[in-house]
Amino acid sequence: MTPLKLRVNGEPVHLLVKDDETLLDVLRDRLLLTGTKRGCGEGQCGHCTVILNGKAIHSCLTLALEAEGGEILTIEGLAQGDRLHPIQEAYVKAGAIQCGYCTPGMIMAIYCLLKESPHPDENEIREAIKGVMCRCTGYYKIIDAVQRASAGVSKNG
Amino acid sequence: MDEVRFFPAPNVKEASRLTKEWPVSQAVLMAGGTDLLVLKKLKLVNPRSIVYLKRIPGLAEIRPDGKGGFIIGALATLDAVGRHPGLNRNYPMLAQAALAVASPQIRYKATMGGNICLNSRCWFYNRSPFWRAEYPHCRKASGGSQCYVTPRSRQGCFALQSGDTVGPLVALGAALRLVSDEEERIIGMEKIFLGDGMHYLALRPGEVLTEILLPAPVGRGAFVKFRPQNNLDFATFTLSVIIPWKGAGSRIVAACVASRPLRARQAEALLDQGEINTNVIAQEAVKEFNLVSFVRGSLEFKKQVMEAKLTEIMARLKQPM
Repeated sequence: MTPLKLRVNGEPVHLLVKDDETLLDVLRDRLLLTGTKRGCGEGQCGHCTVILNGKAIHSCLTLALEAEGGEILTIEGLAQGDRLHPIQEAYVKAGAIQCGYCTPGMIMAIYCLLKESPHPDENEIREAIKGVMCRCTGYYKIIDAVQRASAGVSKNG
Repeated sequence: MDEVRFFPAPNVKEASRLTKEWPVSQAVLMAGGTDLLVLKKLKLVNPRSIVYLKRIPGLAEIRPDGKGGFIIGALATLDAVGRHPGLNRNYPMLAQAALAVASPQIRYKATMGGNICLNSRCWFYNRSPFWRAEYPHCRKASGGSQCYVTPRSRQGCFALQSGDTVGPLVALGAALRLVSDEEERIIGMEKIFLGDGMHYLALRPGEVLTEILLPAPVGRGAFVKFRPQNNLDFATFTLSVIIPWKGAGSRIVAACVASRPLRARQAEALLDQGEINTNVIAQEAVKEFNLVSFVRGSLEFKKQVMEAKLTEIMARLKQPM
């Protein structure tokens, strides 16, 4: 066991982890942040996507110790109290949630996209969400949601 | 079961020393970990010590070498390589190859060094222990005596080299800097691959790949990664072609179809001699590649698509700009 120090959704976290424990296991089983979903565990489905130091990564393919001293943002950290994040808002309006299992990973991937390029064209959106699999296959609603969110982000500055 | 230990290495020498402290195969080097952790989950790699490289300072830099070429630190992520303006200007085929790898989430973590040293892959190897139990004699997975890809072979392993950036690096004539705690050497990109799926890299114990050295560009290049769908898959094959601006020195490289990247030297000579019919060159090249593995696409399929794609990109390259 090794001590680990990081910030999750703005809160400092100190805990002891096993050396080969994945970030996903720590988030879900130790910190009980079960918004982040466990899917294939090998980087294909993207449901475990979280933001580590500003970049969307697979938490199932990241050892917790890799994130030492890092800043993590999960789906739980997006909303401000009762106010949803613009991407979440757009998701509701576009009906993009569907069964909801891919939603946390998808929203984190979109969050990373909109940070880097606030007004993505459709190709950029497709490339950004390529790493998250939606088995409802309703990708058009998701693309619609990203476009709404991108418009919303620009409106609010 | 023994617990796995995680050692963040402060520098390259220490990383090299740490791996040597353990018996071979019990200590592994990890950079992005996007391939290693999958292999670990499948119990194909069972390390007792993971030596973590990403905290070594300075190794993620991409910088011009002052002689018209570039030096890419082995820890530069595929995302950083794919978006680097200098690399996009001078080596567009390399940037394209980096961005052709899997998904953004993988590219933010995975590194250039890792993509070159990527474990060779096979239909019978990259599987769960349960699946593998049905094929117990695979040489690579369980040290058996058979190869299910080439049942008539007496020895050797035909698992495929799979890094997308390898083809362009070979075509560009890149070299690699390998550093251990005792010595340092530079090896050509083609020489690092030994051509056997099991012992696929010429890395000695304790050696760490630190830099990729790119010479100044010599001509126009084109890169194609072929996969049946535009999804996250590994390539069925990649093709990298360079036609020099003047003189001889064309390169035609096929990668991800054998345990090492393949060059078609006779077809390159045809190209240098000014053969106009690109289909003739493509046919010669595909014959020369002499594909054996049906993994990721049947042989006939691979040959036909490869010929068509080669013809197409060479014709495009030969057109005046």
